[in-house]
Amino acid sequence: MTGTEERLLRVLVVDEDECIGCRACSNLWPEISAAVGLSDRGAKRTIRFPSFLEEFEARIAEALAEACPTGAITFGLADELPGEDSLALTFEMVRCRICGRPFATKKEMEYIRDRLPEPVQARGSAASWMDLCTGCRQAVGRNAAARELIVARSWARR
Amino acid sequence: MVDDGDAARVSLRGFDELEIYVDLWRCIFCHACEVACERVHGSSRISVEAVKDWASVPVSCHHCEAAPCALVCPSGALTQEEAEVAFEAGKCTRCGLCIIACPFGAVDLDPAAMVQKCDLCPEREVPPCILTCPTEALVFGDRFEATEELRKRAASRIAQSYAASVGRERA
Ligand code: SF4
Ligand code: SF4
Ligand code: SF4
Repeated sequence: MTGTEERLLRVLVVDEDECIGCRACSNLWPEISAAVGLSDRGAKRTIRFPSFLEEFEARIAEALAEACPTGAITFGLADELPGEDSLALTFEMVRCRICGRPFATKKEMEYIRDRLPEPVQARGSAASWMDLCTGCRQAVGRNAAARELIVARSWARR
Repeated sequence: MVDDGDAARVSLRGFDELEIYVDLWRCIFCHACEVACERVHGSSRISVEAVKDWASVPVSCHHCEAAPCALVCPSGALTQEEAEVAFEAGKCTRCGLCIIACPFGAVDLDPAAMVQKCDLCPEREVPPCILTCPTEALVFGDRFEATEELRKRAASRIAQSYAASVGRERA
């Protein structure tokens, strides 16, 4: 077991069904960001995973597997290089109902919806907060607060 | 410098259930709270923006009950603690799920930095934004104290405008 193990490669396996396209693996540390590439283009997010990591990157391998919220990342040991040197997963993104900016992957939204209790999800006939990007959520809140203030001010001046 | 990493959360205030409330009548769009927050945390977790020429509205974490951010956080970095939603930077993986889950858009993730969310400065007696606001538009207290203060202010505004209208009638 000794000696030969040092030459084994750590093969990275990503479960396509489990991966939700979040930013945990690519955002964890700078050295990981260099290995796992995330790019958002239009309404698509692509995450490119390397197929293997060198033996000395065991620390990175562990951190990656631990960081993934869905347990989509696992590692195996192999003595041969995998055929492909990277795996790219592409995710469809959801656009903000107000500004149209893509702000989350569909699978991230499902993950979140599954974890929120019904009343918090609050989907009415109008666009709910879940359909809006962060900036527009802030703006909607600000507008409502400002409107209330204007109403209160006009009362006080009567 | 920014020091809100792994240090154990020692709250000087115990479980007082203190929150930050905003009195929009008083906010003058000076951004002093943002500057104070940035000075302490490296980047600001409160953001003030104007809505047309109607009002300027500061937005920061509301410390929700059943906080969506804490419900979705996979790493345990965001946790619900009584009336506060605490954030422990050392546990955060920067997955970004809390940002998508917050109904108010109160969480921020600078690609080059850490998740930014108001944690009510548990290591301080009073958060610096509160101390800095020149008009006392930010009110810090439990919901009874804070709403009592806001109600008093509303009552005195009503009294003033009544006095003013009586004055106009006499003139
Ligand atoms: S952390 Fe997991 S779920 Fe998130 S993008 Fe990476 S593999 Fe996918
Ligand atoms: S970050 Fe957002 S969801 Fe979390 S407690 Fe604050 S306001 Fe609520
Ligand atoms: S970005 Fe950090 S705090 Fe937010 S959900 Fe992910 S692990 Fe939790």
